[in-house]
Amino acid sequence: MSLDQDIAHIRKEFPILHQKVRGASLVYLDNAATTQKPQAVIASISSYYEQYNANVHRGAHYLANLATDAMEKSRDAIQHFIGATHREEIIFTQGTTDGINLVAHAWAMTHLKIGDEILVALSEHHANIVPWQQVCKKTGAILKVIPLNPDGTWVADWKTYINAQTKLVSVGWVSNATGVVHPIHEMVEQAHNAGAKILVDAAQAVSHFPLQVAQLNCDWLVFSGHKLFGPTGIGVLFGKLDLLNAMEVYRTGGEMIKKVSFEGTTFQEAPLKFEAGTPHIQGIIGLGEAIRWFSNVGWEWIHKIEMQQIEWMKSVTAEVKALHWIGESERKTALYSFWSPQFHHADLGELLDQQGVAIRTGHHCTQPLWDAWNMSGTARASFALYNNEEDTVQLQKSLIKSIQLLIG
Amino acid sequence: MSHIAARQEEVIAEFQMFPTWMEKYEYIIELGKELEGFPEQERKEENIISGCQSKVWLTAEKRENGLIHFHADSDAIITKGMVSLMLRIFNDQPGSEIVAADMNFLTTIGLLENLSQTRSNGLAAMIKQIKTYGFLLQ
Ligand SMILES: Cc1ncc(COP(=O)(O)O)c(C=O)c1O
Repeated sequence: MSLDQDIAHIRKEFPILHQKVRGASLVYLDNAATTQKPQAVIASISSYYEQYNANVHRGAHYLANLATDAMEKSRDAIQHFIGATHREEIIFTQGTTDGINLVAHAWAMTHLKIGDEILVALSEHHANIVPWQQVCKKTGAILKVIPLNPDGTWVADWKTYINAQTKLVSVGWVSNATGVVHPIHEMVEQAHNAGAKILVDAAQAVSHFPLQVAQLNCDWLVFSGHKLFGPTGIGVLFGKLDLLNAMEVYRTGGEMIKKVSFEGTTFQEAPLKFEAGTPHIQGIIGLGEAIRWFSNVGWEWIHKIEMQQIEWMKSVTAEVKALHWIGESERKTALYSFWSPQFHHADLGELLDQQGVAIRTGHHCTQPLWDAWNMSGTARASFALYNNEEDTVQLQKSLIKSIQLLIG
Repeated sequence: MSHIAARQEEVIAEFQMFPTWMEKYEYIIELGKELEGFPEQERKEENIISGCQSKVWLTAEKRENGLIHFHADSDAIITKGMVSLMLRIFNDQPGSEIVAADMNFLTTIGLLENLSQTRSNGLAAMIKQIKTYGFLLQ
């Protein structure tokens, strides 16, 4: 089958894509914000509610066992998918932001002290900045920042930002503002050589290439289910098992305890230790299904389609040279941030929207980056495995029409 | 009918001549480009209306004739066109009439139905600020 036929086949599985927006066929290019869901994921959530809704780990009955089973199978699927050594290393969270907050509270708040350094890069998402600022406020640690080259890559001497004071490195693998893929393997090695721990924000990486966390050897890694064709409100924190068990607890309450008494309470081991309260069962089941679906598509094909999308976009960026396209680095995902000194990105976004093309405009939660670059943000088109050549053609056409309107 | 209401009717009639989104936007963008210059010394933080994705500056003065004159600007041209439309309706009117005005034209001209939540919030914030000036300067 040709690539076009393959994509057509995939698109059929996404009900939301087949609709008109203001009379035009929907072109969905806001996948870095959230991806759409295949029918299989939607069905898995309905069937949970139709057939086996029950609270997990608690009831001693048939339905409770089915629900618990389904939830734990999702954990297994995730472990396998990200290449973790133990299933206990997979913690369910609400998403990337929640995972980072967990590490900030259950590790950094109690392990860092005055003068210790936390290292991030200039392009981090606010979710990977603000929790560390809070940690610094409480502990007296210092937040250090790796600057960027104009193409969005880390500066050449980024290694010099790691030193004996560095206790934690927390960096995004792929930037949601530029699409640049950063040298995370090298960073893990450098961090560990300096005796620091490292957390990887894989929110924009997880749907683009295999994470292989055990091989990567990072201490923690976080991502959100909704950027991987799964439901919103569910995410994953991977952590090395010894480390997880040595960490403090974060949220406390039911299911995460071993024994509660008024003299003192003891806690479960990971992962339950970090999963207080009734979990987001439908989300976990939906995410498990998303991973099964995605794995079935397979990395080989996913890589192929993304390379093809980047090829298609080369002709768009060449045709619409009047716009500045950011992040034209060698290693990047199919994510395109663009701007023009002549128009506001909000104007571009609004006019594209009128033509059925969904992109995002604004600061993309990376304000420090735009401040450093003296910009107010960009328009951003981000691809997923269902975006076909027609989408890039429509993007180009509607960009040109918008520019014509704006320069009038 | 008050002047403000009459001007709204005019705008509504004008927009009825533009059946497609393209023509409407073309017109709005045109209006944005024609908006009178904004005094440079007023381009400061305290004159920014918050709640808009793009920046909107708005100031007002009571002129000798007792009417209120607004100056506004935006860094986004579509927003600027909307601002321009708004000022056409409100400019050089008595404060009391500005406060009392019933803002119905935005829904009627068929722009609002296409607008994002952010944009509607921005416009609402703008109207609120115009009315506040109308009240304070009457
Ligand atoms: C790089 C990066 N980090 C963190 C996040 C936050 O993800 P969530 O809102 O799902 O917690 C995002 C999502 O936009 C992101 O792109």
